Amino acid sequence: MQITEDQIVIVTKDVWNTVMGLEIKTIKNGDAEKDQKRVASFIQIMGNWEGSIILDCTQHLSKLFASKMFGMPLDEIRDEEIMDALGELINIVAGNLRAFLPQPCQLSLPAVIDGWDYTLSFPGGKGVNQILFECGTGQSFGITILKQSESEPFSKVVKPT
Amino acid sequence: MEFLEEQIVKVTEDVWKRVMGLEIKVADEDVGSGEKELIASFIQIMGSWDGTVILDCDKEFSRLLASLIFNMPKEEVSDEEIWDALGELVNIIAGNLKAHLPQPCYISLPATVGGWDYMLRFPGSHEVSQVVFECGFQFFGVTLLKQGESAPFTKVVKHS
Repeated sequence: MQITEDQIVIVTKDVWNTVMGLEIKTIKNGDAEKDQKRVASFIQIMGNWEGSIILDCTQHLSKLFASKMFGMPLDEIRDEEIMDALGELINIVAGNLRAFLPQPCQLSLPAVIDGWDYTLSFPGGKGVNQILFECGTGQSFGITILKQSESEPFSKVVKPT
Repeated sequence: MEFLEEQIVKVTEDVWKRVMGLEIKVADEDVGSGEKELIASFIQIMGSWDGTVILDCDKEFSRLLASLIFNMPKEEVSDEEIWDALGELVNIIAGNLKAHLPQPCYISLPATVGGWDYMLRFPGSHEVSQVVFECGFQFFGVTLLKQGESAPFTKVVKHS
């Protein structure tokens, strides 16, 4: 059993609408703001299906998500709110997608990384699906599904231009 | 004595000796330095006990560890080999510590983050144990986080 692109799109659109009141749509190419600080949150899944689900976006967009989630002005959002918001969003997305996976499987706690220059890698994780979304701000975010395999390690690379 | 500190010391000393032939000892130092690229490999534990095991060190030391694990010259070690080596080491440590935690609990796959400027955070987790080891004047840390309601743990790496 595999998580399909359609399932990722349905779940993500539903979460963004329900939790933040944001309408999102899929896009082919991500934003060009490569000189921005980026944030990634992810959850690992283990059991009868093993892999990871990753949400990543610019810090600017993560601030918007946090302000919508917590009903706070953008300029009052601190790193703590961003961390909580991105951790909660990936937790809800992963919790919904888990229903499409062979049971039993367990979700880890969320982890969040932000910065200008880092590489996040999952040795043995193979990219299965990556969907890019846009929510009317001109900035994109991605949801990536990795499945554990014996192939090349997947690496999420974030580098300043 | 911090939570499972004795087990952390024992398993880490044993793995470093058995897998890489390296003698290590507990040190009273910080691992991080603003002038070095830092690598952290971690595994999450879930079930009857929720938390995270983190192994962190600077990139050059991780290259030495990978060269010993894969028996290849240091200058030929790629980033992929470093990620694999650190992931395998934290996997062995976490697998051993799991036996000392309330069952059932499960360990995740390892993930590795490296770079000059990043913050790695585990919302809702707090540190219950951290042991710093010295290996030939180089330092690395093994940290155990537990999920809880206290302030979130933040691992900070900043370029100087």
